[in-house]
Amino acid sequence: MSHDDAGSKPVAPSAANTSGEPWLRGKHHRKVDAMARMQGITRYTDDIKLPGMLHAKIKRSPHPHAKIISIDASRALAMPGVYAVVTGKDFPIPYGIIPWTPDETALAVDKALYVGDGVAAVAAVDEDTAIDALAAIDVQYEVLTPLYDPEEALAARDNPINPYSKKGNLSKKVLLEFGDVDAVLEGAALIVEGDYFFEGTTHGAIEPHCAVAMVERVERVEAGGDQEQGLLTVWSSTQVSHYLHRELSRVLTMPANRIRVIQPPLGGAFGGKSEPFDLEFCVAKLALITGRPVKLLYTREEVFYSHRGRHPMKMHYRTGFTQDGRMLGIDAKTFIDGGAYSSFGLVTTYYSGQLLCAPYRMDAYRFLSKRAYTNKPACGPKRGHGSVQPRFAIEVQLDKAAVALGLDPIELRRRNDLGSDTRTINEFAIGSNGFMECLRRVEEASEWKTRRPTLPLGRGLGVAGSTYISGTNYPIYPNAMPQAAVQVCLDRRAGRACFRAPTISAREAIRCWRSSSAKSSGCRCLIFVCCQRTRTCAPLTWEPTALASRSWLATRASMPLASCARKSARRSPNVGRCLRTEWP
Amino acid sequence: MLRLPRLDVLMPATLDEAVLALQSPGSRLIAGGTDLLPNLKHRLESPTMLVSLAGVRELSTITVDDDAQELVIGAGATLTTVEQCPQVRAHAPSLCSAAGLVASPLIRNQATLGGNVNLDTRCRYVNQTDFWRSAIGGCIKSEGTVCHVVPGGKNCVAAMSSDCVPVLISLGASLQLVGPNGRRRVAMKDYYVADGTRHTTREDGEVTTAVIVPLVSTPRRAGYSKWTVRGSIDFPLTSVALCFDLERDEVAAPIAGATVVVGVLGAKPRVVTRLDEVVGKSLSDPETAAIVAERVHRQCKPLANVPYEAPYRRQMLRVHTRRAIEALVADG
Amino acid sequence: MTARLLRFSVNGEPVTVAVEPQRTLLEVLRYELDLIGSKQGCDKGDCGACTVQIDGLPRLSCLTLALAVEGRDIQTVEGLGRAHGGCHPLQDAMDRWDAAQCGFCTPGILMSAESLLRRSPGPVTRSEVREALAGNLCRCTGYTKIIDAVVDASEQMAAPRDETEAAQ
Repeated sequence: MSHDDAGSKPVAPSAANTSGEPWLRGKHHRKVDAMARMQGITRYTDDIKLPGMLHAKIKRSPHPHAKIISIDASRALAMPGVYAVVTGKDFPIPYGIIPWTPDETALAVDKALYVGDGVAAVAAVDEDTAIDALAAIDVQYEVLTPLYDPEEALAARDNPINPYSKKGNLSKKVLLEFGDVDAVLEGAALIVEGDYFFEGTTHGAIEPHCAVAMVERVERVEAGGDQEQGLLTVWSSTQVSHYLHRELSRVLTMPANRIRVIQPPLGGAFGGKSEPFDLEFCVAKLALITGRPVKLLYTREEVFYSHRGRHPMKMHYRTGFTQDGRMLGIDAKTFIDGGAYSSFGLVTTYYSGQLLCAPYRMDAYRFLSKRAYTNKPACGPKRGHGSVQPRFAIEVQLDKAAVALGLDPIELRRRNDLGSDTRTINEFAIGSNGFMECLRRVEEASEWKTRRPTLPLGRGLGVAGSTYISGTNYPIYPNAMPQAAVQVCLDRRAGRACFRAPTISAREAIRCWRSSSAKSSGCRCLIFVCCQRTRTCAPLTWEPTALASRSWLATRASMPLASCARKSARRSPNVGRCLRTEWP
Repeated sequence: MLRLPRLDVLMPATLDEAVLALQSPGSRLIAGGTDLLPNLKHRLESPTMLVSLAGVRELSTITVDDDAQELVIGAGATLTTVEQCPQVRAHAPSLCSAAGLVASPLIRNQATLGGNVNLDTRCRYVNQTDFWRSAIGGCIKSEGTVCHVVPGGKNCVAAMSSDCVPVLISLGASLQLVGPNGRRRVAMKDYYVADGTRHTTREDGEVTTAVIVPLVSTPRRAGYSKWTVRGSIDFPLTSVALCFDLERDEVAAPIAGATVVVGVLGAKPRVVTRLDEVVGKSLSDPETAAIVAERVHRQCKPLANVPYEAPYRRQMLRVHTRRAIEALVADG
Repeated sequence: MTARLLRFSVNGEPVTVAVEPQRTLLEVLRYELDLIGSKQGCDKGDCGACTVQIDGLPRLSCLTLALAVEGRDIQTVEGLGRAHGGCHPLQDAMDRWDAAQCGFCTPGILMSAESLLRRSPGPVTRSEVREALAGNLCRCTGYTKIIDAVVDASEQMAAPRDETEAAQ
């Protein structure tokens, strides 16, 4: 439908509740911080300027796969205005966003694994001097054979890309079967079989990654004359301040309580800033060495090298149907192109299969997914993490089945609706389910029945169903761990406050909470987005809230602390009940 | 950030001062800067001084010379000005279309027509950062000696990517240049050469001062078609300019002459030949569109120098040529 | 290169700043004058996050040499609401329409949109807005709400209002 159609134009909310107006459930509200962003007041990470601040740049490998023979920074260090150079040898401890797969170092230690892999970093008085200094760092490489295709990489067992890989270039393999797939497909009236390739995409947040580090020296002599490194503060355009905190502590071998991570407002992320990157370790280390604040801002090109975008996948699918269009089972085989590091790849490999089992019912399902290391920027999570690629494959298969069986594509999807208050074949709990209603509305709004047969060659109407999970832990692999975390502190004093980590998701959660909780009155509450260990999310904002009472705030990032979290955990995973937990 | 290299900037107030300043070694002309500054940030050139035309007001006028029967567009006129100028719209509407399709409104508010006709050639292996290019060892146009588009090729085939150039050639336009040796005028069809490293005959130190479009009194239909993936910002993936002289002022009238110019092939725009067959046919005759599209498809072979597969772009060239003619017919 | 003195006007106020010749206007605004509303997204003319108005026309400050704005009038997003009690009708409309999610592209969009509204005598159409914003990329919000908001603001500004003379 045309957006120019005046009849379809939605009505703008007129209420201006920027100050003092109560937040009401079901009412449209302004974002809590959008106006400051629009007025150019909001200070993003690159807007931070500190006295005496140095600028850092990272020297990157021009080779996709190369052994580092030597790095000579003496010419760079001799340049006026150059304060320090660090290399992979300064951070030998590997890290990884997933605790089971630490296979990445802040800068390449012995090998560069893709074009753009960092090998050295320099801090200088300004950016131009830092750029000049990079050119004066001499790196000797021994070029190795690069591998770009996941299947070829898996076959090349004698050429392992990642030094921490345990099985050649296999980053992760998952084989899960639910029901008897072979038997079910054997009895199918129709088998649709095909190969599908998803090329990969990146996030494209308009704000490039940026990090600033500062060290405050403290006058404190520790027992045994241990080196005092001071208190480190890192501002970063990260989505995961607590993970960054954890990994900084590990890689810099500094106690966590001497590190503070602050996340300024973000200029978009979409999963692209959801793990530690080389720049954060580099600014931290360079600040510790020089004693001066250090900033590093990626160029747009460096954003692409850091990547962590949606994985390319080669998918082979076999799906069986009955004559009346009911889906019997799926047999899926997927090769996943992971790039040089694991990133979230362990999760992606599970998700590539686990997220396919709704909104359609099936009797049996098997998937075999293999993620391979390749000499390319690492892939990771991007909105709809892991579910988009297999969704593309299965929805094409459904359309092919519709053609083969002479069924309308929407009708075929209706016949396979999973229903509500049930479980998927892989044991995800489904509460309410609006899929049938959704199909009905799409059918109406698109004028599916009248328009579809009349469109000329090359024009069409298509439909696809999809689903996503609330609570990401169980779908990775079946387990009994808590799935959500909530901390609520009731405060009966006159003062009331909301303590929050200013992530975009937390911001939305607060907004959601304010409107959902506003109807009652009485006691006030203090809300924490709880974070791991100390000092992680410093209270950047003490935000006065009005009329808040029985309230909740959930964030996936939180640690489980309150009993309500455990209660909520028992309910999860809960498709279709995102952030909606009944409160006693 | 992508930093500019260290350099000096000179801001002359007159054309003469600019021409004089350009004689010093290492100097380089800058007009709108929308193409040059990214290229400098990518270290594709290394001038020590930029001579800016931002303060030279005399280059921005647009006039109709009734005596010479010419439309004279100052090279400093921005593409927004060219697009919206009533005189250009009256005498060269296809130039308005082309100017209005360049990049984005923000670029057009800044980029000049003189800069657009001198736009450097582009290639996916060239218009990258110096680091990116170092990973492939550069190429003929940058730091290397090989061509990645034509393996074994000795000649640079970077693409002429200006939107206005094919149109101006199709309209028989010429350029006015001023240099240390005085003033000269060159027909735009002779201005470009098939060498991507230096694709114009502009001498060092010369400034393009005006684009001159001859006025015609006979009926004419002219158009421009640009194919890009996005609706704005992008450089063309195919570009076709068409100009048909008609015997009467209606699309059903017989065609008296046809000029078709195609860009984004190699470094030189291609003037399509053997269009005699459409002379005498009417523009609204579907066969005319089919013949012209077929000639374009046969004679123009895009290379893998800009994004998207060359064979696909060749197919699109045929499609967009046909559609451009259909659009002219639809406009009446 | 030796720094030179550059004099121009920002949001109606005269400024004098010493700049090296190779500095862009964006670098001077953000890092010398701390006018952080104008953003750096791509630094080469693709994204539009650095859009400011030079003598009333929206342009890309990342592709403008700082020295080339000598004596010119620069408007940035920081000055947008000055004549409107701190909040321009466009900012209000974008707030009501949820048209700024991460807000990083928004200042550039506002500068392009304000130029359109100032040049249009009455309410603008959606296609006019789309054309005016064709050089500004947004990644989070999506363009629909942004276009809704700009059209809404133009209607608000065109409607006669007793209590304010702010609408131009």
